[in-house]
Amino acid sequence: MIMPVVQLLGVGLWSDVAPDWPSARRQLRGLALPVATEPAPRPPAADILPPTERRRATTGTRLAIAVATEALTEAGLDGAVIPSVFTSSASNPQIIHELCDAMSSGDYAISPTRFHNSVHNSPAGYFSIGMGNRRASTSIGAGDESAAAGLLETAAQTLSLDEPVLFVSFDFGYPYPLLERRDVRGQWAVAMVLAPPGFAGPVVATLQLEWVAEPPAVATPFATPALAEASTHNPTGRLLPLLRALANDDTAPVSLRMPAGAICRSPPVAAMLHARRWRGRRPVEPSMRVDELLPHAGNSRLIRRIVSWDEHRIECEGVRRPTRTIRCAAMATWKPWRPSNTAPRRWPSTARWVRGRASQAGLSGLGPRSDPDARAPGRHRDAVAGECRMRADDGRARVLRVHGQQRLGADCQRPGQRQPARRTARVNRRRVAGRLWRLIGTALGFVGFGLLALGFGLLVVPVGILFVKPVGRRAAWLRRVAGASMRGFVGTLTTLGVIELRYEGTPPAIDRATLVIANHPTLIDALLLFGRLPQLNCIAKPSLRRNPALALAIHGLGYITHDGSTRSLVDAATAALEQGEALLVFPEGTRTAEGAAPMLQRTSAYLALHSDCGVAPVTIHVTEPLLTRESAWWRVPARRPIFTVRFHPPEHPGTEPHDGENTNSAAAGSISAGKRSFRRKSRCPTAH
Amino acid sequence: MSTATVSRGIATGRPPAAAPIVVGAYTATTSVGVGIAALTEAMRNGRSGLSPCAFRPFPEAGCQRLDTAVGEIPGLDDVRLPSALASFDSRNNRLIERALPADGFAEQVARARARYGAQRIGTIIGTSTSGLLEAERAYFRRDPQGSLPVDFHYLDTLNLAGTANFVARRLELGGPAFCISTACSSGAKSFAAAARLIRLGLIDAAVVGGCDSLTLTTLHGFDSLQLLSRQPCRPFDAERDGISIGEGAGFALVERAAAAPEAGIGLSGWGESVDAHHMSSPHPDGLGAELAMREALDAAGVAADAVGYVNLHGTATRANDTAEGIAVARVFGNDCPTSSTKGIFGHLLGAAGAVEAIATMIALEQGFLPGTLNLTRQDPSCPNRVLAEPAELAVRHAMTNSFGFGGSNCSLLFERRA
Repeated sequence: MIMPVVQLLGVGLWSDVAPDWPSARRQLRGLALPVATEPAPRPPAADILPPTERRRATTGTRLAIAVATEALTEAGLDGAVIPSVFTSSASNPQIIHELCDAMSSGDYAISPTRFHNSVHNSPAGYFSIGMGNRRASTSIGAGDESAAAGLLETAAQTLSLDEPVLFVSFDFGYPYPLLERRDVRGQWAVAMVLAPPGFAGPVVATLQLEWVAEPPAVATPFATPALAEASTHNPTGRLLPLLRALANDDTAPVSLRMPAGAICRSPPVAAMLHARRWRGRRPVEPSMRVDELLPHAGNSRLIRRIVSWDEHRIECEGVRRPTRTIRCAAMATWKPWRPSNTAPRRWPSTARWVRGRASQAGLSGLGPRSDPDARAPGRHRDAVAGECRMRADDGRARVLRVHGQQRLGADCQRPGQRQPARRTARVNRRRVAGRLWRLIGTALGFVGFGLLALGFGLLVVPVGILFVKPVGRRAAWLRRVAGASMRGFVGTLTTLGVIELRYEGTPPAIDRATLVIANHPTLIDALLLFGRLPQLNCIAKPSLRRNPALALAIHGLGYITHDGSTRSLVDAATAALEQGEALLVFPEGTRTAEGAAPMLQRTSAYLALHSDCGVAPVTIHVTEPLLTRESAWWRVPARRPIFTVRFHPPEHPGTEPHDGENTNSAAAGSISAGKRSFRRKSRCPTAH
Repeated sequence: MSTATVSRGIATGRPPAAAPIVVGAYTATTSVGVGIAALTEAMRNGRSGLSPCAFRPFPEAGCQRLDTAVGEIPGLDDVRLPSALASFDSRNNRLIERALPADGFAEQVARARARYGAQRIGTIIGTSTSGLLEAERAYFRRDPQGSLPVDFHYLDTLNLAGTANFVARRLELGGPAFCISTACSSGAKSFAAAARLIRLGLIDAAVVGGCDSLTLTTLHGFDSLQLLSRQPCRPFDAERDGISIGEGAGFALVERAAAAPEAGIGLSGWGESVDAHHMSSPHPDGLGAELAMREALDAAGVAADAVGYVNLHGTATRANDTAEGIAVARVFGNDCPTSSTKGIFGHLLGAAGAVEAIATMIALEQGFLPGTLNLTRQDPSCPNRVLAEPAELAVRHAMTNSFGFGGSNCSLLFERRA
């Protein structure tokens, strides 16, 4: 029997793998990968409840209220006047477990709250209390077919009342030992607002429910494990075939198994969907996968697990700080936004990140076996390029390449390889003494830098504020002073013999908007560059601003700060570039992981593309691992590290030929690898 | 040999909203006895099935003895389910097994099945406990590792599906089968849900009703709320001190009027609402209750003064009776005869709405109004007219109220079609 059609006005969803319906829709379209996390996320707090009730709200109540409010918001309906149908296989299995446990062990003192929360309709009751809703509310249970039964009841109510009715289905895992006898997994909640035909309002889809005696058409199984499991092991997850049809605007009938009596098996729910497009954000490109969105995940040991991701953000858990979350900007699709407080200008509607990859550019024939550097003392190789391309919708494209170095791993020392000649005891003693000296020098360097920064912040910045009157020149003056201090600091380190430093090439003239991009092997790279290019602006990460020794200095120098979000970063950086400043950027976002090829974040390519600024590449080469991300500061290398900072000629848009590859880039900041043709003695007095 | 066309055509519009829904058959089993005859006799004579609580589901556990009266149905432990349905074995389903054959209800349903076809008869049952006692027993029988015994069939006993599926399988019905569980209004709501599906043409008839059996959790839970009366409950009495829990089952066959004779009882209206006030206490002014009653009257198109009797929820808690009395008086005035039958069989929780709907139907059919047992002096804060004694009075329209936890309210309006 076919029921009259009903209209779907809004959907709400919350599950272990999707915090809302738009996320779930992307997953169901195959545009995003549902990733289960451990431990399972907690449903959002039921914020419509007064604080005392909110605190005690059960999982079922939280789930039901979260999805109900989302669906009502999308439908644009008032939660205070809508009748509702709540359905669940069991709304409070945890409380039932606790009560049964108490009863069977003779502990008869039940908490009154726990008792009234144990009733099946307690989530519905809390919803009505939170919304102040006095309309009819039914709570249904039918085992695995609860959701389908609830949908049927909701459609019947909306047709007989001739007004919208809210449908809420939620189910979550059972506690031990109940789960042994009833395998419900995950946490799933779905809400829908159904309305009678002809209801004036934005319609998402039209549903027709049909009750037939034939066996249900077998739904295409879900390829994704998280969805496949939910569609079979969670009563609410059994709505997934219908949700998939909704997400894909699929009009083929969907069968949901209904509570069966002795004979009848199923009524298919035919989803006849309007061609109307979904409101909501643009999805990521269909071809993108997690590893593509976040290249680090595959290549680096730094990321253990992806917590969640959407178009703008990937949250992942780091290895080194298991308790903290690293937020990586992964901008698969850029929404056109404007820097705050600037006049609107023509932005491309979207800029797509084309590809980011690490390659052994120009050295494809050189593996560890044939690489002469592999036998070099430092076992480093300056041959690896990180590349990031970004193309705007209007066809413009930018390619950024950063050349780094790859430390060849221990596996290069193959058994057949010749061992170095045995050193004399005297040489050994000298090496140990040198190493100890550099250890002390490094420690002094840390202390000295802290004192320098603090002194700069406490003394120089106030002096600048007091005496450098044209405010516009203040930052420039302070940067000159800071640059001199850093030059002095680095000079001290070289004088002490902690490092050896060479500058190569001509530092770029930074009198106009230029992005100075560099690889980032060590902690002191920025100091080396500021020493030569004091007027550079840079992006100070939020943690530096919280560092008491650096906060004042950063503020005085007018360096770009941001709140951790990519958007605030790009806003601030674009504003600085538009004022004609030169900006130092480490496109990798952080120090190069030791032994890994550079992996560029897309932010810098985006900045270059949208600011149309020049790009001045810098390569920093260091012969020994020093102050890297992976090693502790006191693990100084056996030999004195030799820094080579190589400035490459800046390239400005329109002045350089096309990048020969498949992008029609207006300019490419690229550097040639492995060429040392323009090496010359640095003019830096402290360099050897 | 002919080819039957199974297509019923696509429903293009809504069926007429006023398609009358009638109750073709009903039965009830409570602590006063099995079947309608026992219930009628108890209602007429003011006989109560409540007795001091001696409920001991697993005596070896040394259950605490509660100082209260309960309406326990004797001999349920001896009921045996058909062997094909053995996995459904629970006190709740044994109660259903005992209740369904009474008054020829199962045969009436079989006749309806022959008339409409099994798939055109739905099963919508109200229950709050389902097989909870079976789960308590299973927990008691956990092995040393804490695992539940393998003969504990969760889906067929503790889960709500167990109750609806058992009724559907027992009566061989193939229509939509599900449970409504809105605490003490569950049984009444099943009538409304079935009537909606019938009016939409999805089914032609439905077995509705409710069934709840005693469990330790409900007894001790209400005890924790300090809502258990020490003696048989005294609804609307000035000295009332709480509820008496009972167990019972009531079932009715609701169907489209065209297929039934122009007689019997019709379900003319239903109203549902929520208090939106508190999880376990009613709105002090009975706002939600009033909404439900007015909605039922509006749905039926019956004026409030045409209603000759209101079967009250009347649990005998201080809060419920006052709020309900105020609300009933606001809707029906101070003269409409009302009474609570909870003194007879106790508060049947999820089955209360169904069994009291059946009590209301008995009153309509037999032309008498039941009294309120144990009512000696009406609470002056309850302004409605509460009948203490049964009254011989034939009325045409009668309403039954059911209110539950979560503020869930349901009022059903029945009509004698003669």
